[in-house]
Amino acid sequence: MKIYQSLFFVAILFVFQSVSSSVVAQRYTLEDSKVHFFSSAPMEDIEANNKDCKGVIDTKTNAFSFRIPIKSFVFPSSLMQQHFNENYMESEKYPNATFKGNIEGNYDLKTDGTYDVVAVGDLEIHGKKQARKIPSQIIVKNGKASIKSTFDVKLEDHDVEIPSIMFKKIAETIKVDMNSDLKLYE
Amino acid sequence: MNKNYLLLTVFLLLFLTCFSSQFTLAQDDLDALLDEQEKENPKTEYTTGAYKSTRLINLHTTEKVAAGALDFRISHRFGTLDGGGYEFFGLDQATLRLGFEYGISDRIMIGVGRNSFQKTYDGLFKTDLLRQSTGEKNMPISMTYVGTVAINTLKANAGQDKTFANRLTYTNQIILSKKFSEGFSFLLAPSWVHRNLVPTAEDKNDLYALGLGGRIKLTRRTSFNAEYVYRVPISNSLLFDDNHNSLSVGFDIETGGHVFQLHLTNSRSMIEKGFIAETGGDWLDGGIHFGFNITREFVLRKSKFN
Repeated sequence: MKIYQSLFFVAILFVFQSVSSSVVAQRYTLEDSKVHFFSSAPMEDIEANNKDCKGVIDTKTNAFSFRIPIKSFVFPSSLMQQHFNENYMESEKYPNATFKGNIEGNYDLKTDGTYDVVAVGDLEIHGKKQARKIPSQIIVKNGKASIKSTFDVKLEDHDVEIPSIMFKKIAETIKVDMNSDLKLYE
Repeated sequence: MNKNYLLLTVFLLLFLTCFSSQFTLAQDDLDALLDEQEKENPKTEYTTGAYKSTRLINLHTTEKVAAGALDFRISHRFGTLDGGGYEFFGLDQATLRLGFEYGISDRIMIGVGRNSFQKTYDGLFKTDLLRQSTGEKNMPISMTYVGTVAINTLKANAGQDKTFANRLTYTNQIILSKKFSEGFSFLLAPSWVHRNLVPTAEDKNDLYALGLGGRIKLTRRTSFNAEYVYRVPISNSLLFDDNHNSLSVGFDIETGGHVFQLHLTNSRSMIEKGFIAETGGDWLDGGIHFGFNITREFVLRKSKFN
């Protein structure tokens, strides 16, 4: 009798094991990501593109981590790019902007549809962290998933200084667009 | 029976904790994955901002005017400090150079200027040979070529043979530079000055020199600079002996579109052939000039932007 009971438990254990091993972690990485920022200023608009954003989302735990190399922002003028890296972002000291946290809301990367979610976490730019809730959209179309988001960044939130003797006035807030495909990571 | 149950339950718990550890994938794992991706796709990162400006003081740095940007450069060197109060410590006289420099691409820059010292027009060409970088391409130093032509347009005195060719001086330089850290950069500048005409037979047409200099960053927008140019001696040459090695110290202050460079130097001339070969002032004898360079950059051409 006891042996039966033990066997029964062992069987249950096996079932557990098979179930749990079938639910391995699902990690998706960013592919073909585009980050673009725009800032409207009286003298001239300032904008830049970045195609080097890296990131990963774990659909099991809903944890995510994004990383944007600051030096990869491309401006229409190399002089602007130089000033952006040298004077404002201090890219040597703070090479990456990062955003880490959890995705809140329901989504299913296997089912076509548009899912409104909120990315909740710490946005770190210029070495300074800010807790943010950034509404984003996960779009699944013909089985292909992508994520997109638009949000504002206040320069003072991240201690980005604008020198008072600047010739060009720069807007205090910049608008960031991000768009990326999601690819299952094997 | 109870004991067995207990055992089994313990087993169960053990197993479950084993499996559930798979579920708790921490943030660290994600970051590790990103690190891995970065390693797999290494990028070359070129060192930028080794110096605030295209000039350290007189010497060229490895910096160039950005592609599509025009740099308007106004340089002044006043008279010597030893003129005393009567000469207002040199401020009563000034030599001036006005120059325009343009970035054809990220690697090539050209420039023209006019120096009131000997009424000289000059043209310059500057291009990168090597760029300091880390990552996929690892290059410890930057190497830049600077070539200049100068035309002295002073009126010829009686008996002087001042054909156009005789008025020309060429300089060729290689600037070797390394940005050692965010705060410290150093450069070496082997230089060759060729003068088409020299006053006497003993004076050689060619002068070789080695410039060295560096900068220490004081704040994000200011730095302290110093430079020295050693000339390889030419024996029995009056032209050589009458002049000195150029030594300069100064500060850079940058304000976005402008760079202000304030300095003390024993050179009056602001172009290569002048400060390398014709530096008259002697630091030990009050032959020091106060001077400044001011630059203003204008963006003329923007690249296509999607």
